[in-house]
Amino acid sequence: MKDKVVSIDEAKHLVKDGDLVATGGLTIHRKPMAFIYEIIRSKFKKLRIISFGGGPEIDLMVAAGCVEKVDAAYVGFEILGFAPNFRKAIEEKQIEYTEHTEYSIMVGLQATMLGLEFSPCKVPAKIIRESDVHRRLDLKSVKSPYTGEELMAYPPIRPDVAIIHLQRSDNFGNAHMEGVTAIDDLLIKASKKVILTVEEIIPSSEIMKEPSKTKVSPSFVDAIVKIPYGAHPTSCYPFYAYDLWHLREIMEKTKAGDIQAYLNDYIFGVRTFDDYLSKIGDSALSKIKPKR
Amino acid sequence: MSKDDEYTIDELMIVCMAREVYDEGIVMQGLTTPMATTAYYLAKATHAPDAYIYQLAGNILTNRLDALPVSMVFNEFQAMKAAMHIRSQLEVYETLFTRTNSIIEFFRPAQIDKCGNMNNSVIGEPENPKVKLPGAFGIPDAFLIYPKLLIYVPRHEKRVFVEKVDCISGLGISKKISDEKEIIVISNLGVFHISTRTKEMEALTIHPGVSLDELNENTSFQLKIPQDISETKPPTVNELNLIREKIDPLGTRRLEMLGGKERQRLLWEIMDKETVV
Repeated sequence: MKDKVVSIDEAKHLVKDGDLVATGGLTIHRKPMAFIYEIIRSKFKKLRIISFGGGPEIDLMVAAGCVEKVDAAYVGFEILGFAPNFRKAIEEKQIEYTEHTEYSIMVGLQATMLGLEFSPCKVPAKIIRESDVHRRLDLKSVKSPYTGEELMAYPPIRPDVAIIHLQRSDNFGNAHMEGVTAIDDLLIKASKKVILTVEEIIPSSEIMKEPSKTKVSPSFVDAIVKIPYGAHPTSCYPFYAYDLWHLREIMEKTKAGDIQAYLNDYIFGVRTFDDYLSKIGDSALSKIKPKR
Repeated sequence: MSKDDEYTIDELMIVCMAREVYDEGIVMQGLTTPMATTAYYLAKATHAPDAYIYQLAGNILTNRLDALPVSMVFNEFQAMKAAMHIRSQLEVYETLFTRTNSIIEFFRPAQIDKCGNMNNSVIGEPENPKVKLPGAFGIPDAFLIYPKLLIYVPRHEKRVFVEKVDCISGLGISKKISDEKEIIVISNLGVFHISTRTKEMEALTIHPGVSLDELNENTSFQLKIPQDISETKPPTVNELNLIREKIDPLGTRRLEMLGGKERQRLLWEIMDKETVV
């Protein structure tokens, strides 16, 4: 198998301006933040972002002007509330947004994976049309050849590149996924390219001791970057919880109109992710370590 | 508190919510929903020990009461301590379509109307939003699939119980639906019900100490209120002890009752309490 471990600089070249970029994880869980900071630092433009439940990764890319359009079923900071920059951009009409449902994203990706031209749902189209979020998806319908009922045909979704942060992988992309899984399995299989950022790289001999734990097949993986704490300020079970204190800082800076200062401070003003972590500091990181 | 059976309104709501969970029901916990989580665990500790509780967006099946207490910072870690099965989101939806009648899930709306339509998408016109809410996540789908929907509203106000929702994120009782469907709404003032037969929201019980005037003053539409409406049954001492001491000693449930600065203050207090080394 091919060794795919690369530097973040090398992996970055798999992303192009205007790409449909899928981000893994869920809201404030396991977001590929270190890679997102690199995207922001590299000033990517006109990205279209798709996520199941988006969080700070979408919020900061929007704040930095990297985003043209977002497709998601939710974008927020969970218990903390709104994703402030995303919300502002929508209300001020600076970006396009399609509010998906969980189902529309999942079956869209599944249609790609299974080679389906579209995916029909058994709930009658006339009922789905009553639901505003569904209606605004502008789905086309088909007539069921079996019952004659008019059904909605969900179109396939094919991201250009998926960026997923995981616990561990070997050099080839046999990777584990622990805790909340969300739809990362689908994003990995349906995207044209896949970049994994991981907390640790382990030898294949370790992978082979528990092959049933391998949740990612290496044939789907294009690049692997080792970045410990790479999901901060979101969580990566079992290594660390989300840093609600830092997320609060993002919210407060945004409210005060200082989000550009935040970006300068934590993203443009640091050269590497290690420099970012030093800025965050040991005491902040020890707070989010689970107690044994 | 002076007497053992004195309770707060969040505790009464949680007890009402727990009563909707039944043994062997499949419970879907969303994300950080402290009142719903507390209610699910209360049911499991009392009348529904064999309920299946899937936490964290339905991804993680936890065993018995090992995931306690309810946590704010280490939510996922607590669930994983008691995890028996981890599944993908697609597998969650496989359950929705094949075990449809057994699903129990509470949703919290930003707006709800008398037909049970709920909105968590946007305040104002969808094309010209005044407030873009974080989003409805699985609500649009759940409201098309579940035959029974459970809703909780910690703050029963006119701006929540509206004449018409700004956007239908979750489709309530629509005239186009022929299958039977029912919606239970539990608020801080009472318990309400809507079904394909009744079409419009009707009060089932009113909480002790709440007047009919208070109910009407805080609802934008005309609520049906039966003449002989009874009071909601209060929590038992056992239920109160379980909530306060075993399930939610951090008091995360109270976050849902508050808004604005008060809520922020309590949130930081809980977070700091939880991470004291």
